[in-house]
Formats: sequence, structure tokens, C-alpha cells
Amino acid sequence: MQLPGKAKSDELYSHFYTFLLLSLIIFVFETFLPRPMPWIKLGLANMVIVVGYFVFPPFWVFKLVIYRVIIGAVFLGTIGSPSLILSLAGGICAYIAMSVWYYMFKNRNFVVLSIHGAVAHFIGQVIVLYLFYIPNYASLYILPYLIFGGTFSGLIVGLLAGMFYDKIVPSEVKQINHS
Amino acid sequence: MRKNIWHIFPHLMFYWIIGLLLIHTYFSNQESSVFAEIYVKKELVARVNLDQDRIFHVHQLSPKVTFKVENGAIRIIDNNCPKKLCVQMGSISKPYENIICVPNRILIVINSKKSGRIRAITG
Repeated sequence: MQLPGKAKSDELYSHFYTFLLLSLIIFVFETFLPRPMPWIKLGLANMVIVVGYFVFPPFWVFKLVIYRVIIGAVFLGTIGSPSLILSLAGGICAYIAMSVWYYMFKNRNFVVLSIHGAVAHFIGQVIVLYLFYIPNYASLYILPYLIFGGTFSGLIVGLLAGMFYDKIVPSEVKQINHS
Repeated sequence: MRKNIWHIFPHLMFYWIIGLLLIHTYFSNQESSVFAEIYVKKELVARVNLDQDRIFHVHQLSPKVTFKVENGAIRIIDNNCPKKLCVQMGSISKPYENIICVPNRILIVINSKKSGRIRAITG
């Protein structure tokens, strides 16, 4: 991390926790929305994480993902349940995919990042589900439908992330350049 | 930083094609040949394909024992045993379902070429 100085670092920490709180708030309030099935969700909290790539140094987004999943599980009361493990697996896979597209391929597009993150999230979830919970080929049959859904939810979340970066993120945060 | 919105289209197409290929592979494996194995006294006496409908006997058993294959399912429609429990067990079509007749020591098990495939789970 090449940070300009201590004061900048503290400021960046404060921005980090602001982002964390924002994603937690969106995560908790999203569960109040009506859903067709209890495990289908748009994942609006991830738009904050997508924007985090454009604001924070590398590996801070990983912390953001892990904190968001674990504290969100504490808020929703799903800690210790399989959904926490599946969320962690999906979050880590999404982080890896988005990191590859952002840092290796230098693709600075919110929607592309979000689509790849959403699909990688589903793939990681299904693989962990297959390995640990339902060791049966039947659990893999849901994967193509999840990939289709992941592209659309990634599209929506990516567009919202672009709007979030344009309208809400303050300009002094945007000027921090890490690459 | 921001490109044209249509630059996301190849990424979407990539995943849609992957999804379609996965669906295609899943549903092309569906017509795996399922067959019934008939055991009499622990001995495999017949392996019946469930694709075409027929009524048949097995020469190791008395002609009273009648098997029937219909709509991809097999059942015993007549037997000479006293309680006729095997007749009441109905027709079976899915792998690892079975029909048992204790007096005649008949066992019918559905099996498939893709062995070890469990079709349903509970709990």
C-alpha cells in the first residue's frame, strides 16, 4: 500500500468503515423486501463492495467482504448456519473473480465487475454446497439457472454501483488513486 | 473508467452460452438407459429394458408370475404367493426402487448405466 501519509490513512480507514456500515445497512434492509423464494436475493449490498475497488487499496475489499458477511450474519441471526458458510464461499469467490478482472485485466467497468462477481458468487456457493452439504449431482443442476440470474442481478447491481459512485461518493474519496 | 454500456454484452453472452451448454449437457444425459434386474434366489435371471411395453414370464418361475412393463415402469401383475404383497407394491421406474416377493424369492431392482446415481434426497 502506498499511502500518502498517516492522516490520509486514517481518513481512508474512516471511509472504509463508512462503506462497511453502508453495505451492512443495505444488506439488512434488503431482507425486508418481498422475495419469491427465501434464498433468492438481488445482493444490493454488493454495489458498495464493487465501488470499494475504485476507492480502496488492494485487499481492503477482501476485508470489506468478510466483515460484511460475518456482521451481516450476526444481524440476521444466521451465524453458525450453513447460509453463513455459503455466503463466505460466495463472497470469497466473487472477490477473486472481481480482483482478476480489476487488477489483472484492468477492466474498470462497474457492470463487468459486478457481473463476474455475481456469477462467481453463485459458482462458489454451488461448489461448496456440493462438497459439504448435498454431495449429489442434483445440487449441480441449479447452476445454469443461477448463472442466468447472476448475470441479470450483476447488471442491476453494477448499474446501481455506477450511480452510487457518481452521485454519492464524495470527490475527495474519488481522488485517491492506487493503481 | 466507464465505457460504453454495450461493452458488457460479450461478458453477458459468455455466461449465457456457458449456462446453455450446462443445460444442454444436463438434459442430454437424461435419456440414460434405465433397466430392471430380476433376481430369483439371489441369481440374476433377467435384465429388462424399460423402453418398450410388454408382458412376460421368467422361465425360472412358474407361469403364474407375470411381469409387465408399461410406460417405463415395471410391476408384477400376477403371482401365486398367498398375500400378493408384490402385486400391491405397484410399479417402479426410478433407480434403486425395488419389488420383493418373499415366498418366491423374487427381487426386482431398477438400475441404470450411470451407477451410484441417487435421484432424490430428503432431510
